Amino acid sequence: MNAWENLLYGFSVALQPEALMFVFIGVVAGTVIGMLPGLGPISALALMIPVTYGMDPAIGLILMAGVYYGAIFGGSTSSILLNAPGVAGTVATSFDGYPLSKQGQAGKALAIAAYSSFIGGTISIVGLMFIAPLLGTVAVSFGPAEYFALMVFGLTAVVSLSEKSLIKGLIAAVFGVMVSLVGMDLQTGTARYTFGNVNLLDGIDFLIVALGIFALGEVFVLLKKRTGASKQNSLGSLKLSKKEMRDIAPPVGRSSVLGFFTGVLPGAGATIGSFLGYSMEKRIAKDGDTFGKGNVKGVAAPEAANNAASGGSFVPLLTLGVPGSGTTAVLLGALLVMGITPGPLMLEDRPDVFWGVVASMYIGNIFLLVLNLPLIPLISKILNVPRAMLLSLIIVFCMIGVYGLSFNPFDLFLVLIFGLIGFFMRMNDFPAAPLILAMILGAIMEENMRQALQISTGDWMIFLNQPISLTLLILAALSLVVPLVIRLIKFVRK
Amino acid sequence: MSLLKRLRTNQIIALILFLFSCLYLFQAFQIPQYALPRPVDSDLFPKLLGFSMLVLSVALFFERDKTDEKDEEQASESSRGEAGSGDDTESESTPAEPFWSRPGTQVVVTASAVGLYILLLEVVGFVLTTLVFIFGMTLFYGYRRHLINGIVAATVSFGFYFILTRGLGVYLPPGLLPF
Repeated sequence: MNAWENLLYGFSVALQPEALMFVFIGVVAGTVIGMLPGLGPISALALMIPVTYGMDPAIGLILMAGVYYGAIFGGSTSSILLNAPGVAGTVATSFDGYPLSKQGQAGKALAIAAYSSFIGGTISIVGLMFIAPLLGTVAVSFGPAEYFALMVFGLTAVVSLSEKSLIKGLIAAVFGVMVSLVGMDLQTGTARYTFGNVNLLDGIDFLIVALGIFALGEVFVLLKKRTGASKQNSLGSLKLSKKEMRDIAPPVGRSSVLGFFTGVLPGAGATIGSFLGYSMEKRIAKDGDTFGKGNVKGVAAPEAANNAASGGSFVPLLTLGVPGSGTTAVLLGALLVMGITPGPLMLEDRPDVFWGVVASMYIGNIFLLVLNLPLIPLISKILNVPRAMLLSLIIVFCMIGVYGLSFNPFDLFLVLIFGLIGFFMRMNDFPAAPLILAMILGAIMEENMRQALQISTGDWMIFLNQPISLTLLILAALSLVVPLVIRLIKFVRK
Repeated sequence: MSLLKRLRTNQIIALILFLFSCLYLFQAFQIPQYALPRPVDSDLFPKLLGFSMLVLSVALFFERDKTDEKDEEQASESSRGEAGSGDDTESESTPAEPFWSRPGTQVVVTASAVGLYILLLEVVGFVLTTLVFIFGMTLFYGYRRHLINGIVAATVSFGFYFILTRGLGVYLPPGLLPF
């Protein structure tokens, strides 16, 4: 079967009534969670994973795709309505979205966000369709040494591109790998860091860490910082004029392509994509000086770019099985829970799953436009739900999610511990994305490193003798050294 | 104490991480060897990680970043907190605010309440602990419409219990309740 036939098959799965119902639930739940300041796609995905237990993998995936897109759109909604971006990826949207909303044109800004996201998402899915199989054929030749190097590069890229301190990013990543090693070593059966506790023998489930850090931890941060209670501006009309449509079309096209390629790079993703899109359009536009004061292009560009980047970030996840960001790391965890292991072999062995994912992403995107946008006036009422009640409900959802996984109160205590760790990390500017990515990659990284060293009978040169792994390791080193050099140059110039 | 006061937040964190890596490494050296000789045993990767963390904690000790700038700001404007995003209707804490509604207290109480919730979950049961938790915490965070609060707490706790146990076949502890 060729790509188109596969995609059509994917659509036939994703268009069943049951699937449509779940994608709708996913989009709405994602939008609601994504709207809450501080909670973004990572929290939304983590909170929804327990819902997929026991579900048919295809349907579960479709639900998650809806949640993912909904959460991104929800983040834009709170950026536009409240000037409170749920996540870093939608910060650029608030630059022009919030001024529009203050002018009583929030509805218009939301509509632009939805259209631009839709087009960005569509372009990125087309890109994914063409690039993924190409990359997949290259990735089939990857051995353990290459995989190890790739994961090292993925981690260092995420660390170096997080806006926070490089050292703190690395600490978060090393800690994440440490957490992933707790439990029985699968190769030797040796217990590591279990301190004689049988509850730890199976290791710490990634959902515990994800919910602890990204849901419970965020609740603590919201309490401490007291964000969440803001005045909401009126929505206004959701309609766009023809001129506005014409105005936003070119920026949306350009930013979508830019965003897609940014997303493919490990570590870059939605945040950098949206800022690049925004600044590119600001420079290109004739009315660039009105950016920041409520220019429609200033909403369209970052929204197209961040959605395209989200699609682009699926390329390394699906073809290499290596997530390039915190969000795709949680998504990888969700896929693994459903018994799906993404990677180069998935394209060959299970094309139905691969194309099912692509189709469900697309359906999620369409639902966002067709159903979510008209429902925005209703959904935005969620923002009026008392913050006090939302916080207690989020805590309970975390507890139910983890208890339903293991039926073990010990795991709930771990969620609390990781919640507190996440809280201290946020309060002291430690980035959380490297931790969750490292936590998911850690065990696989070790396994690949050991396999490589077993092949070479303990010779470390195996990582440097192979051209691909050598290139990846050089890139990893560069990703850490270049920011330091830039800082040094700036320092010397001062 | 005086030494601790002179240290920046990052330096205190660095010291804690340094101790943590020492303990981690100590544990790594306790990992028993596998019976058959292999090029890489279970202890290699943890040792690598422990040493990396050790080096990073030393590096953090000498680094200055946003956290330190915040520290300095706080020291210079001791009473005024950072301004919010401009539209926050709630203001930063003032000295007159009662102890229980200060942000720090709220975090500690929330963490303790979650701990208590976990302890009581299997003893008292899902429905009762969840109902009391949602109602109590919402009240504690300052919501004063008790009837609505009660209805939401009851709907969520009973709703989840019946959907999960009856609908999806997921076990939740019944505890004191007979069903």
